[in-house]
Amino acid sequence: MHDSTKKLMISFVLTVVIVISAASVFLSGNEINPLLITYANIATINYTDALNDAKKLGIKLKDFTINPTIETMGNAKAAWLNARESYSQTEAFRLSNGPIDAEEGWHTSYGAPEGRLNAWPLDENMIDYTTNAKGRKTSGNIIDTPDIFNPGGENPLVIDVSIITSDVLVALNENGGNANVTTGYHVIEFLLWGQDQDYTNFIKDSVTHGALLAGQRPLADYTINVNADRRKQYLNAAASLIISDLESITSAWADGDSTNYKAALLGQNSDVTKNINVKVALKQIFSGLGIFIKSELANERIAMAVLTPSEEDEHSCFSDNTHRDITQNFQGFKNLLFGTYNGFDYGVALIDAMKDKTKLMGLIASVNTKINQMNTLAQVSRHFDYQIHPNDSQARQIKILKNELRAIGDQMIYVAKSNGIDLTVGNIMDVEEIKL
Amino acid sequence: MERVFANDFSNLSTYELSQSFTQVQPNLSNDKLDKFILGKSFFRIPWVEAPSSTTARDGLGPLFSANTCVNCHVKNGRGKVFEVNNIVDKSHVIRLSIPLNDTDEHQGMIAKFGSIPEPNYGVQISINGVPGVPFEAKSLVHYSTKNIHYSDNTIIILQQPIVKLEKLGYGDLLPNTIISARIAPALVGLGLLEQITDEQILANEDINDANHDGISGKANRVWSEQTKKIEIGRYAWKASAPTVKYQSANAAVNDMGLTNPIYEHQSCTLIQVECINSSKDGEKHELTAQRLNAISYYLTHLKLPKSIISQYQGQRLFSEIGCSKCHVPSYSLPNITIYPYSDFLLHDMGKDLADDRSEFDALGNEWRTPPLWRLGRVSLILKDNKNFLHDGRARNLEQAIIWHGGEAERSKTLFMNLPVSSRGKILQFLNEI
Repeated sequence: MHDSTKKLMISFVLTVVIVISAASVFLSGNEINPLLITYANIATINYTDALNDAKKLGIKLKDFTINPTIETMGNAKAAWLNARESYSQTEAFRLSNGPIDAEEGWHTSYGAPEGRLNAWPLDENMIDYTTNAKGRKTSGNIIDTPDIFNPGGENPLVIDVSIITSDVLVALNENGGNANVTTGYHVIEFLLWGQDQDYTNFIKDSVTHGALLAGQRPLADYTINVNADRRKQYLNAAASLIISDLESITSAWADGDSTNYKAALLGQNSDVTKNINVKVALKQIFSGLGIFIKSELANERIAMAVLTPSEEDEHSCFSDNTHRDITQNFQGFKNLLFGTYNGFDYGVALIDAMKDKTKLMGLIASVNTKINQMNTLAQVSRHFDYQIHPNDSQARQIKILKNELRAIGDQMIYVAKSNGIDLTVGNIMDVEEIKL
Repeated sequence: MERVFANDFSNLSTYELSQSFTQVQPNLSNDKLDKFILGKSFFRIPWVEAPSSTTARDGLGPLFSANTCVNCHVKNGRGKVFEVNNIVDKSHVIRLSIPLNDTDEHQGMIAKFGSIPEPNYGVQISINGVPGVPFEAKSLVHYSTKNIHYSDNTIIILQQPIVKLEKLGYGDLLPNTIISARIAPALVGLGLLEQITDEQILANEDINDANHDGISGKANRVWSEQTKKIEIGRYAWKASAPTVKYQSANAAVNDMGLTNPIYEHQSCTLIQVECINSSKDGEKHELTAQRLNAISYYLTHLKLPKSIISQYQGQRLFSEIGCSKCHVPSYSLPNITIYPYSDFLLHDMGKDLADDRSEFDALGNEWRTPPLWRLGRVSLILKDNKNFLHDGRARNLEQAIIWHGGEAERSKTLFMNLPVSSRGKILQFLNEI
C-alpha cells in the first residue's frame, strides 16, 4: 500500500493543548520524562544518519550521471542500498503524530514528507519505459515526453517536463491520483535497477532475472540511449528532493533549538503552547509503534506480499532489497523499545518498566531468528521475491513471521500499561486512511 | 445486539468516530485477519491503466469514475453530492436507461440487466477515461426549492435536484433517456445483512396489500450473473444486488472499469471505438476472483459499531406512526438479533421521489427500504456530509422523512402532525439506532 496514503490522526493529540505557566517545572530541565529523552535522542541521531547517507547517495548519483560507467552505476546502487539501512530504521518514528507524517498541528510545517520519501508501489511505467504484461515496451512516460506530460488518472493536471527538476517531480507526484508516485527512494531505485518480476503464478509477470538477480537496467540507458540525459536529470532531481526533505525532518529533531519539534516533545519549546503533554506524547509513541509493527510491517508489507503473492507488493521490488527493509524496520522498532541505537545505550527505555517480559522477549527472539534466516537466504540462495513463492518452504516461515509481528504489536498494550499509559487494541490497528 | 445506554458519543473521540465503519471484527484468527487485510488493501489500492508494467494493479478503465473503491466510499461512509465549489463528487453517479418497449430484445435485456441501457453511453456515466479515451460526460446538479408547511406554520425548505449532463463525449443522449442520480450508501453491517435468510425477507412481502394497511412490500427478484439464476435482491437503492460480492463486482466494472469473474466484459458501447480498442489489451479478469473474494470478505467482516439508544419515547412513536411497518426493526440470526430497521422490500414512495428507472421488478416509483442502523454515526464520519436519500437531496433526517410519499404518505402525515417535541424525539432516536 502506498505509504503516501497513510494517515494517522490520533485525536487525543488534537484535543490537548497544554498551556504551561512560565514558572513550570518543565522549564527547570530536571523534570523531562526520561523515556522521551531516550526516544528523542535516538530520533536525532537516526535522522542525522539518514540525511548523511542520502547526501552520500546524492554524490554517487552525481558521479554516475557525470560519468556513467558500470563502476559508477555500481557505486550509485551501493549508495542507495546503504541509504536504506538508516532510513528504514527511522520508520519506527512514523504514525506517531511526529514531523515525518503528522496530519495536523503546527509541526506539519516540516512538510510531513513521509509519502514523498518512501511511497511505493510505483506506477513505474509513468516514469520510464517498462516491459508490459504483453511483453511490449511501453512509452508515453515522463522520461520520453520532451514537452507537456499528462499523468492520467483522475482530474490530472498537465505539467511541462521539458526540464526535470525537483519542482516538476513535486508537481507530478500524486497528480491524477495517489498511484502516480514520482518522488522518493523507490523512484531512484527503479531508475537504477529497472524492472524485476520474478515468477509466473498468480500474476503473469515475466521480466525475470533469476533467484539472486535484481533488476538489470542496461548502462546504455544512461549513455547511448536517446533519453539518457533526461534520466540523469530525473535521478539528480529526485536525490536533491530526498535530501531537502530529510534536512527538514532533521531540523525538527535537532538539538539546541528551543523552537523545534524535539523541544516541544520534551516540554522545552519556548512557545509553551507547542509543548506536548507527557501522557499524550507517550500514548502517541506507544500506539505509533504498535501500528507500525502490526498494521504496517506485518500486514501491509509482509502479509500483502506473501499472501497475494505479488512482486509488486514487496517493498523494494526493483533492487530486491525487501529483506533489508523488513530487517531495518524491525531494528528501528527494537531501537526504541530497548533505548539503543547502533549498539549504544541511550538511557531509560520503553520496555524497562515492564514486569513480565517473557512473552514479548520470546516473540522478539523468534522474529529475530526468522529475519536472520530470510537475510541469509537472500544472500546465498534466493531473494525475498522467491522466498514468498507459494511453493517455497520459506513462504510458511514468512507467514509465521508476520503473525509473530502482529503479536508483538498487540504486546505494546502491555508495554504502554507498565508505563502508565492505556492503549486499546483499536489504537494499534487499522487506522490509516486514504488521502482524498 | 448489545444495547448501550447513553445519549451521546461523548466517550468517543472525533477520530474514533470517524473510523466507526473501518474497524475489523474483533478476535479474528490470523488466517481470517489475513483475508480481511488483503481485501482491505484491494479496496484501497489505486488501480492504473492497462497494460502497465505489472499486472498486479492494472486494468483501470478504459472508462471509469474513480481509481479506488475508497474514493467513493470514504471511510466506508456515505457518498455525497458535491465536493468543493459545486463540483459534483465522484460518489454521486449517474445511471442511464431508456423506456422499455415490448420487443424481445428489450425483454431479454430487462431479464438479464434489469434495465435498458442508453445505446451510446450504456448503464452509467463515466466521468474519466484513460489517455486516448474520451470521458463520457460530467454532471451538474442544481436545485429548485419548495416550501413545506407544518400545521404550526414552521416552514421546511426542500431541494428538488435537477441533474444535467455536460461535455458529452459521444454525442447526444436519446431524447427519452432516464437520468437517475445515486450516491454511494454507507457500508454498514453488510455481513450481518447477508445472514438474513430469503425466507425472513419474503415473510414480510405483501404485494397485493392483502392486509389493507396501504403498504405492499415486494421483494426484487433479480438475475444474478454470479449464480446464473434468479435471486432475491437486498443491496443497492432498488435492491438490485443479491450479495455483497455481486454488488462489489458490479461496482468494479461500472465505477472503475475492472473486469472480473462476474462481469467479464468492459461496458463500452458500440460507438465507443477508443474504449473498445483500449480494452483489447486488458486481462479477462482485471479484478481476479481472489481479489473480488477478498474485497467481499473485507466488507462482510467489518465491525458493526454499537448503537446507543436512549430515546425510547422516540422509538415508541416511530412504531406508533407506522414507520416500523417498512423499517422493520429486528431479525433473529442464529447467534444474534440484529436491528437494521429495514424490510429490504420495494415500496412505491410517490412521484416526488420517483426516478422513473426500473431495475428488474422495481418500478420507476419504487425503492428498497434502506436500513437505518447507525444513521447517527454515518453523519459523524464525515462532518460535512449532509446528504440523505438515494441522490443526497435531503440535508437532514427531517427533510428525508418529509420527502416520503406513496405508501409512506400516511406515516409522513402523522409525523408532521406530531408536536414539535415528539418529532424531535423521533429524530433523536434515528440518530441513536
